[in-house]
Amino acid sequence: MKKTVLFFIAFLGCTAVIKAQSYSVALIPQDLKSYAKAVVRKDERTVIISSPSNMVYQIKKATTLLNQTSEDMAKTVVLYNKSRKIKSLALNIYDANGYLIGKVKESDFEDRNYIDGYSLFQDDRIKSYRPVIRSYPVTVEEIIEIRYNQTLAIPDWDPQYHDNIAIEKASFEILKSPDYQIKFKSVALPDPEINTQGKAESIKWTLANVKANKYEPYSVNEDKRLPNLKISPVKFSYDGIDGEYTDWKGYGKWVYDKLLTGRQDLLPSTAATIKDLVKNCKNQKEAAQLIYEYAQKKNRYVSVQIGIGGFQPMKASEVDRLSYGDCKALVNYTSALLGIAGIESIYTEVKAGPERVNYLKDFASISQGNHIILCLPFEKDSVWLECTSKDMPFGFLGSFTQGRRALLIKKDGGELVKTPSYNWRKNLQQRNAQFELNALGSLNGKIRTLFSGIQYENRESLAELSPTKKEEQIKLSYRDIPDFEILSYNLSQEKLSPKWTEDLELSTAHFGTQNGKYLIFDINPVNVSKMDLKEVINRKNQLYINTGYTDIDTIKIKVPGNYKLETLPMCVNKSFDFGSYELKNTFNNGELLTVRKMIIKEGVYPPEHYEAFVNLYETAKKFDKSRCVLVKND
Amino acid sequence: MRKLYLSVLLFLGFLSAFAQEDGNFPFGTVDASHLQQSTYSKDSTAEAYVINEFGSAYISERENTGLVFTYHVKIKILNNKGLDQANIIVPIRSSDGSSEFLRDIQAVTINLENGLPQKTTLDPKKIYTEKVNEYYERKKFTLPDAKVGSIIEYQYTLESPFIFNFRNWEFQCGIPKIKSEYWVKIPGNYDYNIGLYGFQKLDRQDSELVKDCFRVGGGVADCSLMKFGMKDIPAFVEEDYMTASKNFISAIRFELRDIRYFNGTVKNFTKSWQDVYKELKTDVDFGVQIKRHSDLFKNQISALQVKYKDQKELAKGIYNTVKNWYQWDNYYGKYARNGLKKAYETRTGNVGDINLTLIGALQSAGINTDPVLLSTRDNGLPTKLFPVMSEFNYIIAKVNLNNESFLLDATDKDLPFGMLPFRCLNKEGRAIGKDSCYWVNLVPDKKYKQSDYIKLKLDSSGNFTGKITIRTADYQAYYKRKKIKEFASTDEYIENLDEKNPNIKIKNYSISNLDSLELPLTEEYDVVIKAFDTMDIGTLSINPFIFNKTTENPFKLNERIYPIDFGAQKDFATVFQLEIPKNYEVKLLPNSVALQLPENNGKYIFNSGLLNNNLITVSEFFTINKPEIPGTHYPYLKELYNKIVQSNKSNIIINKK
Repeated sequence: MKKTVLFFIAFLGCTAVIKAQSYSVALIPQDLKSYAKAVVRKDERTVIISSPSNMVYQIKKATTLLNQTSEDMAKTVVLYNKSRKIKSLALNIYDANGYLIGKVKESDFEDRNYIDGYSLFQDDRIKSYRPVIRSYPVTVEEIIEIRYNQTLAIPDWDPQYHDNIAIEKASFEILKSPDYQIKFKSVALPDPEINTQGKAESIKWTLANVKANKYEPYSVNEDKRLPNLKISPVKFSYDGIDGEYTDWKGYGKWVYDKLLTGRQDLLPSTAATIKDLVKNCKNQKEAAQLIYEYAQKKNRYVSVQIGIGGFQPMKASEVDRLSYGDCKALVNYTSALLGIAGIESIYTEVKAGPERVNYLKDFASISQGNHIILCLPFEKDSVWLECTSKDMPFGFLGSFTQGRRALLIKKDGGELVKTPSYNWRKNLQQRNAQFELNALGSLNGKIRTLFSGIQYENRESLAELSPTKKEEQIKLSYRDIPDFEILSYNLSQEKLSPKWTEDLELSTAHFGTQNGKYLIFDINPVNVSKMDLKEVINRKNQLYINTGYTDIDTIKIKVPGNYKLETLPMCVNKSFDFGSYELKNTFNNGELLTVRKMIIKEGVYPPEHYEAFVNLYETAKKFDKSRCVLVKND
Repeated sequence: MRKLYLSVLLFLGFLSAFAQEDGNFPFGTVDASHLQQSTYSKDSTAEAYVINEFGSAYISERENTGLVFTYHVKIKILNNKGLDQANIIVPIRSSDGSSEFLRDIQAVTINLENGLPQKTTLDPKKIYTEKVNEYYERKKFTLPDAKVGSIIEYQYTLESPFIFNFRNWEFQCGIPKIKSEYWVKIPGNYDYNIGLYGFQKLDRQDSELVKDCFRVGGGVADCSLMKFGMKDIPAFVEEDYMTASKNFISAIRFELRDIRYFNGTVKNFTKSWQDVYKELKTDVDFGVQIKRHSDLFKNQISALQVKYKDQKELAKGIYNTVKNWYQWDNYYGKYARNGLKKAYETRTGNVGDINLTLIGALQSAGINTDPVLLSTRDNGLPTKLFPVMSEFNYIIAKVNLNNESFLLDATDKDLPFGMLPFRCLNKEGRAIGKDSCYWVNLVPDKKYKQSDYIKLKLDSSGNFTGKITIRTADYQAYYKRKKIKEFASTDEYIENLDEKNPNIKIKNYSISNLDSLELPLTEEYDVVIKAFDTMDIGTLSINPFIFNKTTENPFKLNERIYPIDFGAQKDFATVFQLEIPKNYEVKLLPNSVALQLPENNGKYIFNSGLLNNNLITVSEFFTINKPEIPGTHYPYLKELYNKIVQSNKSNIIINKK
């Protein structure tokens, strides 16, 4: 082993003898500058794995920031903790002509705790530095070496981590012994060059002249389009714990055996409490709901990430005592409680967030998830639980984790599964409004709205607000009804679907405008599209709609008896494969009936369809503001 | 020996006096009635409330200890949001090698389980220390087993070497309090200015003398024991368009005036503005910096003096030179942080470095310039009665010419001569003049000023073609320039603008005075707007607010307590002209509106008219004439905005003849 390490160092020594490169901005090819905020001049990364518990990561990266718009990129932040230590850290700063104008040493860096903004505490620390840029363009060269005592998480490579970054030259090399196996998955990268020389094997990916892309809204996640590389070990070590896996099954088994087993102990009194709680339940689902709600009421979310605790959940007995924990701990705890009642539940890893990101089908690694949820595999329809929320309805996942491939951690190993998805039909907002308009332009009436599917989230936070904040939020939700008074408001929850039913009774003096013999008013004060979609000429990316929905608004406005209809607002109906917008107006017996129906269907569509997509939203924006003109009866 | 014994007794006696008297309350007692509460009777919207709160502070006799502050609070949690009260953060300061020290943390949660009170104590191992930066650390912990209905209680002792501001006490916070008391014991040889801030009145304000309570190095002093208390304190709720909550929250604040040492020497900190004035003049980081380094821009100033004979032009030249030399490091300050020489060489510095250099440069050129201390908006208003130096966190320059003066800040390259950034607009600043100091009005006469001129023609294919001219000045121009500079070029800015409005095509644009900061910024575009899909319909409805439409009233609530602070006046004008085809006639024009705020604090005028039967004009004028509108005028301000929203919805109806 020692010999191999020496060889690697010698190998590196050779490559270090390079001519001093020029970072003059004039040398950047012109076409690399278009749509770019920054150009990566050189990005050389080397990962040297000498053993499952010994890994070195070297970065030498020079980025030219082209103008003031790249100001936020001029910050270097390096994380370190017990398993990753910073061996060297330095910055060199060059002006537009490539002359060295600044040198930053490790001791110049600010050293403090890593504050993620939501944890109570975590033992990660960071060294950070932000140079003061006096004039652009400027080139920042980062020279970093990190030493790991683990190989569970091998660094990924994202050379072009944003559309607006161009790359002149970049490479990622892994140096290891040929017997040490690794697996990798690459996107938009050429095949690597593999060279074996005796005891040393080099696997190297190289990129050159990658242009920046113009930002196109509604595109698939950058991770799927831009070059990137993921690496996972076969044999690894972390915090003294060894392991081995080649697929999800193997990975899941390691997690189950090494991280989860033996952590579901509970206080004896708790077991008794749970048994008593569910004694009268008719079936398992009913019992599961009672247990879930018990845990919700008892616990709250507090994140403390220390050492292996970053990967391993707190013991259930600890959560019992403290009444708090992070997602791992709360899932583990709820699972333990369910176990008392004989209900099976599975700890599940997932990538949570508004965008639906899947666990890769054909590549297992530790860095794909960021959250844990709980799966109850009932015979007919599994039930999924979000254990970190105090008010989430039983069985509802929400936009945070719905509709994506996740990983069940079972006793016999990991298994991919898709979390329940909410499609455009299920994400329904259905509204019935009944108003009366008087001759002075005052409006009063009732609105009943049903929110279901992902649209349930539209009113989720409102329920918990203080009365003043609630009033403000209600007025914001109906911002197109000017200055109204809330006569009554009720929000009732149906837990099982789940669904909100909102009943609002209001009145406002400022609705209609009287102008001579005319009375003019908005026909749709309840659901006005404000979406401002940029048009994209010669779009390259497919149109990707992450979440679909259906909005149906039926609005009845009774007009004053002494007025008659002057112009009936225009009807419109536009329909495409990705959605539709329909506005139907009729006038009968002194009442204007407007039915607005807007449907957006999730999915992936050809780039050419984007233009029609923009047109659909423009149509909605325009027609939602339609006004009706009444004229006084003579 | 005997004397010492007595003094120890006295000292202990004092301690127990602290504990047994009505002030502090015993730790961890079960309060059955509060445990059973599910709401707070005085405020049904409360998510939690403070049952009791007690703090005490005294200056320690122990060497190198400084101030000893103990804090003890008991809180009832009423709903899920109230659980945030269970996450405690205690900031720990360090500066110049000295650091605060937190000890004796105790925390307990009391729950009612099956009718019986249950206590859970905090494990001391679960108290974490988080380092934020070189001056500041945070001690963090969370109460175990905290649930809705819990009573949480904690106390700690903080030792602090920073005695200058003693320990301020806020009576108000985001939740209501039943009782809050603060006792301070200050030795007679420490003289503090003490002020009560905010709207609430004290329910208790007692003061008694404790004899021989402070012994240091052979000397003895009496102490003043002051007890401040308030009952039934309402929660403080922040509103939009408000300056720092510090300006409104009920609190007690201290500032050290002087210390009389037992050896007879007196160390003055702040007595009056006169003393502040003298001190600043001779302060190494202030007056001395200005004097010593006023020649940094000597060469550039010489060149400017040749070019400009007029004082104002010379001042502008110097201002622009200094402004463009530095890149501000985003740190506030009234003193130089790096030192002016180093700042000049590295071309970067804090507010003190840059503006003290500016002051020196202007003075060296013979221009009458005074430094002005100010407190930024988010830092709260400075006390006027007596100087509280720690309240000032910023410095600017005041140039005095014949009969006008200009306030200058060289930290922001987009600022024209004589305009302060928004963060400085905080009523008044204190000028340190040549012979005396005085208050300076910081309320700007520069406004948010914009005028839009839209001239369009409706053609037979349903398009509006014409020209848009947008002219912004003062603060409006300042923000506009910043926005345009977010793009790599004006081409990209226009491209983005064009793409944002798919129905509008922009051609032949020109942007004037982008870099002439003192002049208004003018944008001109030719536009083609797709208005109607077809001209076959007999009646067409047109809304003139194609650009910059006000669609909603920012003020939603019916009531408001605090003043509405916009920072600067507003002055907006829109003139819309539309020529319709000869075969169309106007059927309906929007209603006119004229509305004024009380005391002429604002106005809104909306008019429309028709010329030559085919030229429609619509004009709108909106002004707010005072940057701050009193809270009592809120209903009128809200109504004014209602009228703007309504007018912006108006329709012009035209018919085929």
